[in-house]
Amino acid sequence: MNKIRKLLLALLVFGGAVQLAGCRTTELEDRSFPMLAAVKEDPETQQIGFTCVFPILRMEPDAAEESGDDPAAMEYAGDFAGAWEKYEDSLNKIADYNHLKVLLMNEDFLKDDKQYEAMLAFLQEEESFPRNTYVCITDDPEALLKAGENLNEDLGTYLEELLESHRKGNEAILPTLGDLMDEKENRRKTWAIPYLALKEDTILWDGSREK
Amino acid sequence: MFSNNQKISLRQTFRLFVFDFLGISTLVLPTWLAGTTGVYGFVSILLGGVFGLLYLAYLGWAMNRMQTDLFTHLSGAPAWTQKLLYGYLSASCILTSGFLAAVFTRLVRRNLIREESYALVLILLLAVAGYAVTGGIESRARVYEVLFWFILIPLFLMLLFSLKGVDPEYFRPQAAPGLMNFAKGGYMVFLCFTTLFFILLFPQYVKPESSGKRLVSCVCYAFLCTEGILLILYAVLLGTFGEGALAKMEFPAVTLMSTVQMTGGFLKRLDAIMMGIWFFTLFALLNLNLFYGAKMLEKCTEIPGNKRYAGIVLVLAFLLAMLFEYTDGMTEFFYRFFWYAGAPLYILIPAFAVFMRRKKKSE
Repeated sequence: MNKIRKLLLALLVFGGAVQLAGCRTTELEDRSFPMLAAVKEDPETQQIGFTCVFPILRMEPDAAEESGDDPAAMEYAGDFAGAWEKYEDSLNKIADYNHLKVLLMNEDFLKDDKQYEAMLAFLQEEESFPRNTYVCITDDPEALLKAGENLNEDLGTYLEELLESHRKGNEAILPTLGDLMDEKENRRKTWAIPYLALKEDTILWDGSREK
Repeated sequence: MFSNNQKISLRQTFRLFVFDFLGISTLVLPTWLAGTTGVYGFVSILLGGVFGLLYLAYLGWAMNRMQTDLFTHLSGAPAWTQKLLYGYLSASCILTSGFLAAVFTRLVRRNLIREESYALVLILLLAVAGYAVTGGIESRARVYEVLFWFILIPLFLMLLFSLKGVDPEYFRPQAAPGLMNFAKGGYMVFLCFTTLFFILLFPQYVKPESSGKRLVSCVCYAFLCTEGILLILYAVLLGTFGEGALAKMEFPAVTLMSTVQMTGGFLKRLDAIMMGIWFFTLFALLNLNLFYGAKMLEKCTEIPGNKRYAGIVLVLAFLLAMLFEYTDGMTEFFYRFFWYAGAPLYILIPAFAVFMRRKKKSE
């Protein structure tokens, strides 16, 4: 009898505790998984733009039509945090960045120390992006995203493979988002960030930019 | 198959203490040390080691004087002394349990189930801890004995793999911190080892032939083993993140485990597996505090009822853990309490206990 009472009590506690679960959990079908994030500073307006690339399934014409949003459209604001928030609001699913492969920036953004460090500080605080996300530079992220639409896989996965295969041949050290976050605090090293160029719709690793 | 006499072997004691020391020290110390002594954090770890060894020698002296465990020794002391000591120690254990439960829950949510309810994770965690507490020290010691190498081998492997990311540049000395900072760093390390105090309560849980000097040297090995792990871990963390970044991280050791890339990449979400290290080590320390919190409370009220007190302690730990999560400055208060009162009292209590009993005898 005592055992039954104990079991009932345990079930009562467990049942009560389970009531606390589920309210804030997001189902898988309500999530989207960005594979690449792109940040851009508009050289004329100094506005910061942010957008993401999703897995290839997400980009199928039917799915895009169904969801009614254009995931590649950049959202602009005064800083990275604002642009990020605006972009998240524009999506009809919750973005889960755990699978993010690459963070793409344009050169103007990289040179703007204030905006660049504000982004790192924001990402450090939010902890949304994985620390081992590769970081790349390009002239025009939107043009690169456009070129990525013709690939058989999403641009994030493609760039990850491109960077890693290039590294194997050159023994190059690929900086990650975590490395840049740490360097913001340490200020001891200079990182060579891979520079990606577009030549006749082909994406090439064309040297690096130091930061 | 197993005897059930509420006694544990010296090997189990060694493993129990390694688990108790490892959890919180590997989680919070690297950040504290990087912010206080930076590259020279190794000196603080060694200094803390010296403080710890001195403290252990002092506890050995107290045990020798008492010739038994603290509970039995104090049973002959004046009633007010017992109430005062047990009341304080119980409150201290409950407060520490609340803090540890909050850190544990934060860690689980941050790394495994980000969007899950804090209260739910906390309740389930405390329910499991409560079950372990009522199981007694023997059942817990058996579990830790089995888990010991399952936890330590992956930890060493991960540290080995992470050596690849260590940059010697981060070891280049900067301006040396002042003597006060070294002392502060050493004291911080010592704070994480105040669990040593509980050795005074251990003679009743080990076989008579294993108590005394053998018990002290067993705990001393556990202490030195943890010091060694701390030194290696601090070197890897410093070389990977650099002192500036390390000083701003919440749980750098966990972050390190999530960024280590293993050759072959055959294991995905390795960080979740590695969380097991802190899951079991923090759980061990939480259990120790809950267990002694309940015991002290029982001694303080002098009304028997082990399970009743375990229940009270669990409820209080739950409420405190909620306060730690949702009240600004609560964690700061805990650190200050431990810095200025908790640790100094852990130093004074053994001498006080020895002195009170002597006084009673002479009267």
